[in-house]
Amino acid sequence: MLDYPILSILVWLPIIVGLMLVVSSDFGKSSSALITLLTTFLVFIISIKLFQSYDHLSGELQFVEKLVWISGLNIFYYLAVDGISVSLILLTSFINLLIAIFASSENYENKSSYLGYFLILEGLLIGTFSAFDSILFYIFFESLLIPLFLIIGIWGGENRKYATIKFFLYTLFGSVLMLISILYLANLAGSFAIRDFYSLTLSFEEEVLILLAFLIGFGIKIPMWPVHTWLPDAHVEAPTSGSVILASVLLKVGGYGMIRFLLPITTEAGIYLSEYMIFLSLVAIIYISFVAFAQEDMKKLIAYSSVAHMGFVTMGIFLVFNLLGKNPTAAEIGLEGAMIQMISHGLISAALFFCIGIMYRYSHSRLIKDNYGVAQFMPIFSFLMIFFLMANSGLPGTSGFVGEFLVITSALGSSFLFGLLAALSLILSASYSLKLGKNVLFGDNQKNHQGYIECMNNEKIVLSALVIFVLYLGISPDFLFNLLDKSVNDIITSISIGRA
Amino acid sequence: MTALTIILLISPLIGTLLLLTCQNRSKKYSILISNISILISFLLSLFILYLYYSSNSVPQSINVLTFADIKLFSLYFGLYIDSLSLVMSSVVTSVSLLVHYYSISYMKHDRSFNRFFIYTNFFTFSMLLIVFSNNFLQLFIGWELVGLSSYLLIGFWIKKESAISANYKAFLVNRVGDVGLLLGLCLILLSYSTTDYNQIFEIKNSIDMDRMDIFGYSFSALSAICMLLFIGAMAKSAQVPLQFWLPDSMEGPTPISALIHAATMVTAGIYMVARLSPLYELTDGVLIFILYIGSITAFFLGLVALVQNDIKRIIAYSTISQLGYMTAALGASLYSLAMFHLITHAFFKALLFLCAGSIIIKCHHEQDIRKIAGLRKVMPITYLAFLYASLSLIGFPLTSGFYSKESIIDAVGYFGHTIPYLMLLLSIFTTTLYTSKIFFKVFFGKCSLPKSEENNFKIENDRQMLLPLFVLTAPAVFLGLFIYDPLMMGLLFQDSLAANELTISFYNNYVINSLNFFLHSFMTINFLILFAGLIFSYFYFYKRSFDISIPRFIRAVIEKEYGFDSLSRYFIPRIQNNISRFLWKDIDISTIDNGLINNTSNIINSLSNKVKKLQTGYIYHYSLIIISALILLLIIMRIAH
Repeated sequence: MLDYPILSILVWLPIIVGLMLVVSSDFGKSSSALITLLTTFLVFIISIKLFQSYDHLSGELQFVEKLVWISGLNIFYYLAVDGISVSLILLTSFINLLIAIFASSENYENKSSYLGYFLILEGLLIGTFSAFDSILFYIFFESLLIPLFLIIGIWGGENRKYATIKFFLYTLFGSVLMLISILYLANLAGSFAIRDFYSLTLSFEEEVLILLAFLIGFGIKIPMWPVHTWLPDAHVEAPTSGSVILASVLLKVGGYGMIRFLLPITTEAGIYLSEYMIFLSLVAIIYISFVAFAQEDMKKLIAYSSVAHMGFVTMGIFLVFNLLGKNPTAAEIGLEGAMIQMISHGLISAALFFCIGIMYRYSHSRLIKDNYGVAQFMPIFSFLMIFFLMANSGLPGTSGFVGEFLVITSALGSSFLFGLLAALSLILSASYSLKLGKNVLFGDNQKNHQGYIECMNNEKIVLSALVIFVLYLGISPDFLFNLLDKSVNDIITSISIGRA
Repeated sequence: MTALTIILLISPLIGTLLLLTCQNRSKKYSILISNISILISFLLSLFILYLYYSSNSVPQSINVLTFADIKLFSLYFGLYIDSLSLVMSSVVTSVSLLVHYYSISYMKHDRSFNRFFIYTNFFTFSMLLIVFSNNFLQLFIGWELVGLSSYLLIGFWIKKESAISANYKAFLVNRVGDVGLLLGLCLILLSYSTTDYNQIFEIKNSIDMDRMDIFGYSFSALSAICMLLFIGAMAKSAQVPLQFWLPDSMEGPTPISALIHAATMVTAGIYMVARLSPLYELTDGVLIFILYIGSITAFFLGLVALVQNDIKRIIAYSTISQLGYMTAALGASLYSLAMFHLITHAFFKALLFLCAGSIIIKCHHEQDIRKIAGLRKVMPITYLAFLYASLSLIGFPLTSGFYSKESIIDAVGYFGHTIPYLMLLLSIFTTTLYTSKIFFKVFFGKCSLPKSEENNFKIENDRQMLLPLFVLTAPAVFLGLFIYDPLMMGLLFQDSLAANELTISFYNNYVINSLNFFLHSFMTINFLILFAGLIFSYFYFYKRSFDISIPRFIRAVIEKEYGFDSLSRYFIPRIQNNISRFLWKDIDISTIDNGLINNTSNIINSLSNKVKKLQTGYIYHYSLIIISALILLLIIMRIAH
């Protein structure tokens, strides 16, 4: 344990610096980039410190900061972490650092507020992942929309109005349902602390309704089929870094919420409905992969590919319900697979959106047909991009494989059909990922109208850092397992005990 | 021995990394690093093999390095050192070394010289990873990395449209097999809780009785696992119906074709089944399936080779057909014969491809055998090498190919598998025909080269390209004779392969010894067919004394690879495109997004527009509403009263 409130620092430091950058527009482009870089670097260092001091052998909540906020209602300022939170906080701070490096060479009007919003977003994300009071969680969760709304709305593409409003209303709709269930649960429990909800005994009908509310709320965020249609639009209009943070961290909030709320609170209803929810995940994996194959816009392709990969996350989570009585080890594997898939997708999708952003800078088009023969002019870039596309299609040795492998194993423990259908993703994801590579990177481009030249050094740093982590997680995922294992184990056992 | 094996395995990987980090060095540097790293592997393979036999070692499985260890799932780098893996690695590295050496000259004008060697080194490393693997997870990783390297190599010429479609196709078809392999791997984890070969071999008996449900049918877990793993092998080793990627893989540089076809890729499936033979022996029904798949492939894909005109494609179909022989041998539980044919085939097929490469270079990248002729005088060395390789391929008595192939055919017949036996037997005729077709067309007749080059006897090709031809001729022709007796007596692979007793009983009762087998062969139907094939080819391709017209319909069916060609080129992409477009445009956009989501917002919008009209701001509108509401209220009250 540390003698300073490390979580509060992680949450508020970027928010405060971000607000300063937004409010005072006197900062020049380079100085605001420098401030952002330093702040994100500092946050990254602190989150590594958090990781190091986190005791992964104990499944207890750690670094608890619990202050009474509104005493009458038992609402707390309650920050804490377990293994699941720590892994996602690490991802958040790492991706934000990369965004800061990447954005340092970008040119935007009003760059200081642009960067400021990203810092605010970072703080809010860390807050979401460490809040253990439901109201605090809800506030962070909702506030996430504001900076992203502004980033896409101000610095987005042509059709940004439609995309932002759609994105905002869509997710707001889900969170309202979530708020209602939180209020209902808090009323029963007499407290807003999330852990107090776990011990409630609910009637079956109550559980089903609460499950549906949470499922819609988090399902929109992650997003699950059929409430995924906001994502491609939002991605297409977002600036590169916006897409990166959206795909790699924001979507994970949905999966995180499911693990925190859905799994422990509505277990009975979940067991009852598990096959339907697994079906929805399989639809996401297979159907969305086909849709991704048809895309003509690179960003949309990767956006749909994200939905398909998130299908593995939801599948791993819902398999827990299905396997709880049958095969607890397989259930644990499924949940660990879901977590690893989240982290891995965070890295790979970020990398691919960076790659698309780099190509867009030269060709000014996101369409596949306007970009071709890139490999002739950008060999290093192309090498890296092929690597990420392979990782996206789940090549062993990269992080993309580990999560999918675990979820498929877990699915086979439930039924052969589930396993087979999930494994089809091996073919489908390769077909759309490599199609992108084939059409964009390869081929003959003699004239080079787009004016491709090898990407800049800071971009190479960003992509290489991602390569290293994707490989590291793929070859030696031990550290992530150790981090997650106890927490995942605790969740599963607490659910099982709760039932018995 | 362990340390040496690690060096053997790591050396090509180090070569890759060195080449990767020093991109801008000279060509000499690339040549040196890549060739030396493979040379080290090769020498070590031979040395360890020698050590192994001379010290009477027993098979050992060593876990070298653990990467992750979590409950069920543990990922570690391990080595399985036994006669099987060592022989295999000697074959792989020797072919790879010669291909590397050959490529120095073949690729000398290519701008991406360095990149080529990065890929080939990595390719060799991935294959060795499979060969020495002692657990299923490492096998799967190696398996996929082989797929990745072949993807990169087939598409090596990134500007060539046909090459980048071919590598896309190759990768996807291999992925279909990988689904089977992955599911098999996951089932192993679930039912055995380990991925280690030895542990599974030990507990296989107890678990054999486990039943599992697949789509309502009950299977023994072990059979299901072996079946799924074999699907992986079918894709890698190009067996029907997953064979159609292999001919297209010819789009890569020719040395790569030699590497893929001889040693480093297509043999992986055969090797895996042989390695897991203790498991396959316990299954029911799976082996029969393998036997039939193998013989069907051998026969029908051999026919396709007859109607091709591209020299590389003919050899490619011949590979598929020969792999069919190996698969059939696996299916008949003759694992050591399958491995034997794998070894001899590796050498004579590599030789054929390198000869083809030499011809192609000489003819300025012309690959159509109708346009190449009369090279016998111009390329005497290639001519002889090609002759020896061809004799081995058709199984001419005393050559390597004779011992390995005839043994498979005779043994399959000996154990009473009549239908596969007939198919394998008939394939002798087709093999003879397509081999002679290349041979007579390319080397005889009027020379197709321009006059100026025709008389230029001095330069057949670079020395780097000719030396491997010399070297390969030796094993391609004589290796069979030397290892035949020990192999058949089960001395070569010892206990690494299951069901040795079958081969031994065949040897004792039918073959007796290699000399007897040779003499005996002249009196068999096999030789008759071979001889008939040779006579036929001589008059048909060389003398052209007669002409046969195959009915156009049959020709078309064979040329189209029984529909697989159209299926892969036309139907599957089309179906995928249509499904994708339908799901995207009709379901995703029209139904879900516009129908459900945007319509909801439109309805709300129009409703609020209507409600908005009530708020006109005119006093008389409001008073009218108030008064009419009052009247309505009064009426209701009146009625209620």
